[in-house]
Amino acid sequence: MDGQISLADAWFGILALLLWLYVFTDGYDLGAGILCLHEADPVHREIMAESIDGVWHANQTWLVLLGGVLFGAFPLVYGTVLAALYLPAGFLLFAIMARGIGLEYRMKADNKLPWSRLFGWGSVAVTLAHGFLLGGVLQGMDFDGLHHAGGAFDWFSPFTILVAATFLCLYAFLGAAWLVWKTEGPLQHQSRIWSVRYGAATVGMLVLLAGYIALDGRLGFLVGRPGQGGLGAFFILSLVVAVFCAAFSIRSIGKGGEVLPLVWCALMLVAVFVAFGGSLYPLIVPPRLTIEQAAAPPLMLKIMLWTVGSMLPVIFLYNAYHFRLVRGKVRLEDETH
Amino acid sequence: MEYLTDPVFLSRLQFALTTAFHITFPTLSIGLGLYLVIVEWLWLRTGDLDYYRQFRFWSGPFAINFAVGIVTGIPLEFQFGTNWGPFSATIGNFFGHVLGFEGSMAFMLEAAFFYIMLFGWKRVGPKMHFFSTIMVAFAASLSAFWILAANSWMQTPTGGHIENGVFIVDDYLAAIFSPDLPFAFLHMHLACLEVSLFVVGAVSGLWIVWGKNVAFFLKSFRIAAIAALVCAPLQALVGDQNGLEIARLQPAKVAGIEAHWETNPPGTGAFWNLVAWPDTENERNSFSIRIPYMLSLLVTHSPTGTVPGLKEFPKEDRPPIIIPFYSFRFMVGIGFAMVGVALWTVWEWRKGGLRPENAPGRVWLFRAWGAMALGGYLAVILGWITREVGRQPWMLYGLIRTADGHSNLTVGQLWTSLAGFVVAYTILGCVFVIFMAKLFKKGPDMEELPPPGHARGRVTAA
Ligand code: HDD
Ligand code: HEM
Ligand code: HEM
Repeated sequence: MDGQISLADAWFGILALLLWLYVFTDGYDLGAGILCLHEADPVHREIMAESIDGVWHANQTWLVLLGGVLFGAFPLVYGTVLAALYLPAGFLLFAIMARGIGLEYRMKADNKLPWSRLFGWGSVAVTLAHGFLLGGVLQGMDFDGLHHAGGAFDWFSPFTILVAATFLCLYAFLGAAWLVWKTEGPLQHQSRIWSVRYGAATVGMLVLLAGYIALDGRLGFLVGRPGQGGLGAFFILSLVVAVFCAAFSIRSIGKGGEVLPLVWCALMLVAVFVAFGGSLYPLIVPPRLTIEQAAAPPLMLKIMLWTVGSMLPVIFLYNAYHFRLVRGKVRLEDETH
Repeated sequence: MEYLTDPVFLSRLQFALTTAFHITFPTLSIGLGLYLVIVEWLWLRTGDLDYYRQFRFWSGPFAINFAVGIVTGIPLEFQFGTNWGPFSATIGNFFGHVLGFEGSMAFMLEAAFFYIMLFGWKRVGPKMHFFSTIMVAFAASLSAFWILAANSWMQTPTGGHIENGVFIVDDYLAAIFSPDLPFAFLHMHLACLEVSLFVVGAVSGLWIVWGKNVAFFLKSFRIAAIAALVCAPLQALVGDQNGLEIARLQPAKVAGIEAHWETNPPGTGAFWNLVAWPDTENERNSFSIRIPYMLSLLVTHSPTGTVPGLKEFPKEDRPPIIIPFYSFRFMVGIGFAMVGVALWTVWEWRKGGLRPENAPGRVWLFRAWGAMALGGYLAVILGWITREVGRQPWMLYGLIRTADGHSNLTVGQLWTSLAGFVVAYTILGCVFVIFMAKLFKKGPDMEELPPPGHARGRVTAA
């Protein structure tokens, strides 16, 4: 029995890692897209798009892998949650399409502005979909056998709106920190200003979110206090760490840091994940479904650990190689491929 | 029209539309990826600048095709969860693994090397670049292998059993290499090659007819012609074997595809319907043009082999007939037309029709190539329709019915997503065609030189 629990837990950990990779890496490139809408200078917009051109595809592939792993390791979650979140899930897919096409076709287009706008608004839409999907899972759902016991619009609530707004600020923050690293001159200066602004907004939204959860006792399972108001100690502690990381990020921007702001952002995101993931444990879909109940049979999990699991280090390796190749500041004349 | 308010039908329609749209892009990615390997190899071997420029010219369309392949593939993966939740929850133990393999092995590999192949000419040396091109092509074929392993297992689910509503795998390898897989994969892979070859040949033909860059485009046309001469007849053989396998594994499907109602008594041959209109009510064909012995010959390779008819199977286990009957016939027709065009090309070649001074006049030959490029796409979709509609009423053959695998979604939700896909894919399709046409019309940059660190190249006369 013990072995079984730890295998399922291991897969929960891997799932969290993949989700983190997706939210962090796609987060900064979505953020760059969101910030594109703020930027009036077409040359700057070009550089911003160019900065993620070589990486967005690899970043997005974490979503595909996430889907496969969720499907294989927790078939029950895959088969129930996605149907319950039918509309936001569909919205995410359309948004990904719009954004990918905007970005990819911009290169080949003569008039770049419409494609650039599609890319920007597509990024906003993907971000909102992330918020509503994750918010929709976090606020909990009930099942009747394999079928969702609830309405088609349950995912649209004050709580999920708050989560979606948090994601907007968060991704803009990540995107700004990314641009600080990848650009120079006036655009880098502008990105520093964005970082400070959206960093502060992200912290504000996280505090607001915590406050909302504390006041709404029904969400107690999110902070390790099912059925009660207030916040759990573990949750508060992790969130304080997250706020500190955000503060360090902003501080290093003030001191002229290049890559450090982004590193602090990544750590902030780890702390947020630990706050929610750790408090939720051992639930996987609140308020009832546990990791153990949702997991595939132990033998299957073991096989998957040997096969898919052993591919993960290799994937990290060639992702690292890829990122090494595209290192350095983005300059337009470089990209006459 | 109770169909329009039937959630199961709407989800099936959505799945069919979205996969049929998606498949057209991987088809070209797989074949064109291999074509890029060939021209880069020729460039490294011969140092002929034309091959370097071939690579640069074809990698443009490859990139935008690839991008649409990705964005249309992601909805497919998620549709298993959104629309076929109970099915996913039951078979995720195995099916999910296969999608996980596809993601972790194939897509990740592709994503990492794609960038190097396209934009890495200045950043890496010739060997690393060639390696990346090979990796991209290999990963595309690998992903086709995994997705077909998943689909073939839905056709012939081996290697496990269903227990308490969950599929338990007993023999992992038997589940991956299900009996249907070998020929299905071969057939599909050849189909990708054929489509891509005819696309390369047709675009080259356009330029040859215009009389511009004739020598350059004769090079790509000749590569396509030689490869088509190999692939087209091979496809007919593989397709025939595929049919034999299906007759063995899914006899009800073959009876449906052939509108074959009565089992032929021992010692007699089964008729083959060239054209037919089935009357399911009265279990017969209300009209047909038949060829004696032919069906036994086709399906068993013996003139009097027994072919079970539809009446052998309970009514509720019979597949639809009209759709697979006609989609199958058109696919096979296109397959033979491709063999014909390949032979015609060789004949013209031998007569000197492919010399630079003669080629621009061979307008009809190149038109035929254009028709086969479009026909190839059509055949791929028709082939899949044959396969998937013929699998009905089963989702997991013999184990899970399509109607039992469906999530309980409302008709409103389904119409929203279906309309969304139709609108989005119409726009996407138009934009894609416009951009492809633009790239093909712009043509190769005949001034382009490889970056420092790569061979300097030389220019050859045609
Ligand atoms: C014969 C080949 C074939 C078939 C039948 C399918 N696909 Fe596909 N798919 C590919 C061959 C392919 C590919 C060539 O490997 C693509 C195209 C571009 C790419 O990156 O990979 C791809 C892309 C692609 C992606 C995006 C991957 C990425 O981000 O890199 C997903 C999620 C899927 N597919 C999933 C599916 C599903 C769930 C299918 C069936 C229901 C399916 N594909 C049918
Ligand atoms: C790529 C080309 C493909 C095409 C053109 C295609 C076509 C179709 C069609 C026409 C249907 C509707 C059949 C009916 O309901 O009568 C269908 C259903 C379906 N196909 Fe495919 N298919 C393709 C590939 C795949 C693959 C690779 C898989 C699985 C890995 C798959 C899984 C399904 C599922 C789950 C359904 C819905 C349930 C059902 O109707 O059985 N398809 N497809
Ligand atoms: C030349 C004669 C051909 C024959 C005898 C043939 C035979 C078949 C058969 C029997 C099937 C159904 C398999 C099943 O239900 O599992 C099939 C499917 C299919 N065919 Fe063909 N085919 C031919 C040509 C072609 C051509 C030219 C193409 C495309 C260029 C093509 C593409 C497909 C595809 C994509 C499928 C569905 C996937 C698969 O089963 O592998 N076929 N074919």
